[in-house]
Amino acid sequence: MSFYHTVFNTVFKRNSVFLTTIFAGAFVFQAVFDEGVNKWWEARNKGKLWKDVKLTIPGAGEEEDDE
Amino acid sequence: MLSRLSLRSGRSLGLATTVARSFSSSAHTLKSTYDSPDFTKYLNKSKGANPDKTRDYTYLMVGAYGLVSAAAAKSTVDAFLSTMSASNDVLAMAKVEIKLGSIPLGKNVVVKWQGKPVFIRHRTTDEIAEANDVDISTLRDPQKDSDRVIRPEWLIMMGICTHLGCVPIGEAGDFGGWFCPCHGSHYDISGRIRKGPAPLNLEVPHYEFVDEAESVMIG
Amino acid sequence: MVNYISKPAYKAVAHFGQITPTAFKGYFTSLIFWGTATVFGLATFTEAWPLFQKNVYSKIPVLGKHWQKEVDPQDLPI
Repeated sequence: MSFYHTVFNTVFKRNSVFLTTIFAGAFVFQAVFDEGVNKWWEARNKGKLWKDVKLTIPGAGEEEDDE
Repeated sequence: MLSRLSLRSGRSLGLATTVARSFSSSAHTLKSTYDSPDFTKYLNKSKGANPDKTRDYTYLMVGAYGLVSAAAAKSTVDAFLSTMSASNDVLAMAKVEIKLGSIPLGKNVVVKWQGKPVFIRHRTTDEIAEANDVDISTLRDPQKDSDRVIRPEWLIMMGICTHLGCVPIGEAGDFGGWFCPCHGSHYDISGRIRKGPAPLNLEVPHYEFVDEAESVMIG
Repeated sequence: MVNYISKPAYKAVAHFGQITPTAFKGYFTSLIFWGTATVFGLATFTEAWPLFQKNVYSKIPVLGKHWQKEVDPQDLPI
């Protein structure tokens, strides 16, 4: 039994298993892709984000009363 | 698989008269005597060609396409649905917090919540007793005072007359509560309708006390 | 005297609609597999649903931290 034969028998042979693999993959892919894009975006915009800017504003933690 | 392949190649040599269909493993098709076309000359006959590898590759591509499509379909649906949810600026206006320490005993305060007035009254013990004293069976909209307040000393309700939506005046009317100047509805010290055209008691919004009743969160 | 059986003794098989235990046993494995596929299909499409994120997805071992939202308490509206 070659490797490719094993792969075929375990994943592709039953349509239900094939579909499960696709959906499980899609579920994981969404999370990983989202996380990856966020990481990239935050790295690209480093220094401009609120979490970076917040530290440089004096008294940002104090409450402002607007009433 | 191998036996079927050999059967098929056997046919091309004129050894077999019937050929089972390949690419299907069900018993039905294996037993089939249907004379299917001979695809032998289209098979990849290059050295080291592995039919399992080719087949895996095809299915992998189909699967990957399905995976990306599923994720894309979900994202599309999500994008449309999320346009229907409340934006953050709306959510920020959905609640209002009022510090209660600045309201003296026996005084009214009107605050704005979602563009509407909300009455807050710091009731005295006499007023609480008066509100509880009422025989609720005689009321137009029977409601116990304890159903209208969380803490009896703080009466919090919408400042909108249940008749036609005017804003009643505090500490006025025949029952020591609120009086609506538009059509003369009298509300008692628990905000219940007692006299006049209004059909219902003043509405009590959802609220909760925070920080040991230091302040109240409406909404 | 030979005891002839005049007719076959019929016995009703327990069934639910057209489904008998034997038929169900045949389908059982398939149903399990398709059920799993359905669960993952639903999971894919409810991934952005806050209710599911909070109660289910944030509790997945490694991947779960993607759905755990940590906001600096300083940034929360009052």
